[in-house]
Amino acid sequence: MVAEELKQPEQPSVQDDRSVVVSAVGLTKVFRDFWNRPKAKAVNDIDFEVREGEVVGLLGPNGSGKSTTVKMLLGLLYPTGGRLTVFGKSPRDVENKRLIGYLPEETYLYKYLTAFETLDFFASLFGLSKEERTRRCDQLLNMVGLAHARNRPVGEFSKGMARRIGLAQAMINDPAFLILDEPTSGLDPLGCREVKDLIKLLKKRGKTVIVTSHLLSDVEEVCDRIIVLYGGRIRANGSLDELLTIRTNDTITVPCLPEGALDRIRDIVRESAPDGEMSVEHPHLSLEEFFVDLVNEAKKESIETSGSQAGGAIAEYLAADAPKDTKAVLESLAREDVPPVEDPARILARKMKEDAEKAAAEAEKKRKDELLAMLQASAPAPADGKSLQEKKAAEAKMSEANRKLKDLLSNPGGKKD
Amino acid sequence: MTAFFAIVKLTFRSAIRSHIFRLLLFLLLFGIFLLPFTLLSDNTPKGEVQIVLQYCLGFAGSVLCLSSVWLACAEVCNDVETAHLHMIVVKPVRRAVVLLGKYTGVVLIHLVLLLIAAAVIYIFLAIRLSSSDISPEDRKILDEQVLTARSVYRPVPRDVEKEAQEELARIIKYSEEHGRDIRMAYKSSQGVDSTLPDDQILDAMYREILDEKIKTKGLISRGDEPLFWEFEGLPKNLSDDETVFLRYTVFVNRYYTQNQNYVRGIWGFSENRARKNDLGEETGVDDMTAGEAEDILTAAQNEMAVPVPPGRFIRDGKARVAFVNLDTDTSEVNFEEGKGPFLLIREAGFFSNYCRATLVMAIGVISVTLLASAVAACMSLPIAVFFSGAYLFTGALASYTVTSIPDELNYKADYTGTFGYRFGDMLLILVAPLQDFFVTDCLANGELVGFRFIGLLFAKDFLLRTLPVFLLGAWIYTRRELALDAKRG
Repeated sequence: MVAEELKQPEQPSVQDDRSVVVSAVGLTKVFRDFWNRPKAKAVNDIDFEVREGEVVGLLGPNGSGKSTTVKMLLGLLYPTGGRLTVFGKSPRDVENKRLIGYLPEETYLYKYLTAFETLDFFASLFGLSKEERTRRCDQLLNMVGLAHARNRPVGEFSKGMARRIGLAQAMINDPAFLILDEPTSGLDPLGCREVKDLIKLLKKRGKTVIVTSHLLSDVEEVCDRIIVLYGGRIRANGSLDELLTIRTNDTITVPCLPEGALDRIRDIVRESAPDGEMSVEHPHLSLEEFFVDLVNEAKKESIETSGSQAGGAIAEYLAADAPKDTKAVLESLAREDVPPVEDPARILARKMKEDAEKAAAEAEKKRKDELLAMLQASAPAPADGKSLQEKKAAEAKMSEANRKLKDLLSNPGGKKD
Repeated sequence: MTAFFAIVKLTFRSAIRSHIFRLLLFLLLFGIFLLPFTLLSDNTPKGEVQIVLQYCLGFAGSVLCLSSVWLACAEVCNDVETAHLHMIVVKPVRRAVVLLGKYTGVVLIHLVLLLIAAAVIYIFLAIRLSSSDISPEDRKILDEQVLTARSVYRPVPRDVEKEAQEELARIIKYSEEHGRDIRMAYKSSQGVDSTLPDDQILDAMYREILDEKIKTKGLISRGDEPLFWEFEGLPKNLSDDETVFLRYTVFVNRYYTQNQNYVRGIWGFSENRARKNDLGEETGVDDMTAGEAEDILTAAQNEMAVPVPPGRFIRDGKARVAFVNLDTDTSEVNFEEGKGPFLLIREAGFFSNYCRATLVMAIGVISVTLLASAVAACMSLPIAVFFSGAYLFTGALASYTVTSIPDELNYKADYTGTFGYRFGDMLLILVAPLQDFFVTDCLANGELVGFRFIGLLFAKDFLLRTLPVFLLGAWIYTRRELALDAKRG
């Protein structure tokens, strides 16, 4: 059965003493018709928690109950059964909403307001002073790359630009808890990259984020944990590592190997795993990485666009301890090798887990060491590991992608999405 | 308050962009500038000014009320249905503040427009009055009867039951004097059971006389038989420089008819003047002084200055007016109840009265918007517009039903009337009639719009009728599952 193949709901395996931001126990939502007869059970008795500083992805196909859950978190829908709290209070608590930022699936903006007026309006709802509003709006507009469109009515914006404004309004209050419904929907790859970088930055600052998305790669990149919903029930709940690691396979990445080295490696692998399937291939860039590189090159050549531009510096009020711009954020995240300070209980739990795995991996490790020693002995020189036919096919594929992207770039932001 | 004002400002801006609002604005301009040229007056300066005051200002008020209903419904409902409200209510702002902000935005824009419309009409009027083609006589009439603010005093209401009893007593007395048994005559003429006791026969006769008196609704003057009206509660310290006006409408041949004719009559006024003989000795007090006999236009509002100085006409706040029908060709002259005669005494200037009339319309706009906001807070746009319209229509109809049956006794004779009166009366407990907010007819007739009236109107229609509806709407609004009603999102 399909249901059996799916991972059963799990709670985080390590005991976590971070404060609970969202707690749902037996959460149920039944939609009723005009005569109050049950029409559909959108959310069916689900339990989950989101803790402070977590980035949680809420996944599921259409009609799985993601949006209903999000709307209940925001107090736009009320649970039919169960208990739901946000920061320990009802989702309808008005003061609680000072801590929440929300980007809806579609950005509902007042078309006649300019970008600045839109942000100013949403900032006013938080009771911010005029000076503070102006400061934050300007910084956010700069951050989402819409400083040049400050005085343009948002009704004239493309979907991507509207999305950026939506994202900016969600952060106008520097929220402790952000709910992003399809945050990359309608954005170009550059915008997607920036949004993901932003989520990473928010995580670094200890913010709690719930992301719903159909783009699994986005979720995979930014989320610590995912909750998969189907038919109103949770089908999987756990960290990406727990859910996605294939413990029965290994991957080794090395520089290009000289002729013959691969054959020797194959021989060693066959000795250790005579029945297992084996493949050898070149690592490749993701399309997004390729696109971002290409656009960055174009930017260096000063190709102008009337649409949204790449985001600028992170708003000062959002980046009290963060690097100054997106690029710097990326770099700093890449360098981020200092482990976060952990509490003793977590360290103990991790140690126990590691010890348990250590014994099981001992023999296998020995085999890997042997293989690696042999690889290190081989000089890293340019090698033609693939056949000429494979190489040509790869080049043709890359060339096609290149052409499409250049076409896209030659008409940047000219049309609304 | 920052959030509240932000929502008010947003609503204000949104309202200006509504296509229907622009259409209504165009209608408003039409009403102000073109309506005076499309309506026919009696070709007197008084008639022209009355048309401007009654129709232009009334039309402007009506358009603004309609516009406020539409905009209040649209502003509140659209935000829910297009899910724009999701972006607002997830911020730390109470839904009641959102609703109040939207209401205030709609009200503000209409009050500003009302103020502008009233100012434009006033300026238009001032320009018209400054022209030199108005004769001194017409100007005097304008100043005394239109461009003024006079309190209207109604006569002491008739005690119809007492009149019926007196008439019955008179009939019995007349019968006895002429040796007739009126009871037997009544039994035979009406086919009443002859075994009925006398007291029941007298009661039936009394009922018949009472019904007849109620049906006439007014007083009937036959031949030279005088009619009297008593007035009480009049100002006591009026100087003799002041003029008291008498306003009345007469109808011929007993029943209310719009056919116009002339009847000849004479008015009498109480005058507390010492009566002296040729030697100058006081021989008593003149009770009534007759005016001059005149031809009176029927089915039309007539107005005349009381020829007696106020100091003598009014004594201890009381005065008396009499009418004698001198027309032998016309059998009866009928004074309908509610059509006069009334006494009018100046209390304030025209500008003050104009401002008060505008204030009443402003209360109307505030109340109507409050109602529409309340309805829109818990319904979809088409239903909210329909419901608001139905509410206003019901109010107007109920008010008409009740005022068209002015005397409670009247419905005793008619079951349909009974039902109409009771039902209308019951509806008016809940529903505010729109016509309450239009006092332009008072303004055009130079009648004072008193602060007491304004206060009562505010308390009755705003505080007791529309505000509770708004509070109920706001309560529902704060408890709605907003995401259920979004058409997208």
